[in-house]
Amino acid sequence: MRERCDAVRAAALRGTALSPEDAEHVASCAACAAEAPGVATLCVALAATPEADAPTARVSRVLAASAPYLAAYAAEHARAIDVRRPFDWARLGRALVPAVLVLPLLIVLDIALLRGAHDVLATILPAAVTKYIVASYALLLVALAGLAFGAIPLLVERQNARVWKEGHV
Amino acid sequence: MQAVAIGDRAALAELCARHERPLHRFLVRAAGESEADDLFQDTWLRVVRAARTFDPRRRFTTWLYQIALNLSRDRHRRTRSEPTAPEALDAMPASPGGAAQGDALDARIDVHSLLGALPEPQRDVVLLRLLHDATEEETAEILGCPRGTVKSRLHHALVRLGALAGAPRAGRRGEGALG
Repeated sequence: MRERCDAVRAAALRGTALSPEDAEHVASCAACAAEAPGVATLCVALAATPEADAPTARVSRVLAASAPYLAAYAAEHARAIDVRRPFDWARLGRALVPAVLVLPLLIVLDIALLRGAHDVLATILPAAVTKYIVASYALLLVALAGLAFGAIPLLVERQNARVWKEGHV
Repeated sequence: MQAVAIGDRAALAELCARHERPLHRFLVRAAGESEADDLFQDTWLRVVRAARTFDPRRRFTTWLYQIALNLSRDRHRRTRSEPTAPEALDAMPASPGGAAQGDALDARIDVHSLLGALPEPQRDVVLLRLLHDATEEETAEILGCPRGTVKSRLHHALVRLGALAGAPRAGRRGEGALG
């Protein structure tokens, strides 16, 4: 019975006409009769109440006011992600294997280069000067190789951090 | 909400836009047009501040309207000293029928003022159940009371509203809005 009362009340508030069944119900239901003046009052007040206006800058204002909170949450989340991130040994291995495979070839090429340079320079320069130049060049090649191979774990770690962040933010 | 809790601005914008109209309409009815914009912002700020403690098993809308209702109640209590509906309603001449009564009310009383005449528990039920179209179950959940209480509060609120506006008392069946 109360369901019918609810339906009748809702129809009245919507301003829709009552069906014959509903009208019959209202005529015989003490609860609906008691509520009728109140519903009528409410209908009138509803008509006098402005409807929600078109979307305005309300959402923008909320976003602006929430910005500090959101920034703090995002920073905290990023920190939490970073703390949880394990070092990816497999990725390091995948990067090191090709580098190490190429290393002997590089060494052979460098030695050949140094020998060639030594032979050419020995024909035009004194032996001591030739040895000095070739030794300096050899040291430079070793330093460059050291830097190149030493950067591999650092680059892997950086890539690892980026991939992890993309997968967790 | 989980996205908002990790600082996702786009997620908040989407959530806010989705609920903008119904929430604003609810606040206009609950607190009046002049307060609705402020309450709208306060409601969302509370949502954002509490985003990390939100239980995802709960229904978001229930939580949202609980916050909005609490804020509008606080505002209502603070402004209660201002002239409210009972005085305005008392000042109105009693009219013999629902329609005439409606004409008398039309120009001056909006829903917010009218509901100010009700005790808070009844006011909340009318707001949620009739003006926000919440189901009985949702209303009970938001107010934290049994469904039976929602029903009885609603009935008493409507009877009281009818009486307050000097409407014909219960007994004239089939007239007024329901007739």
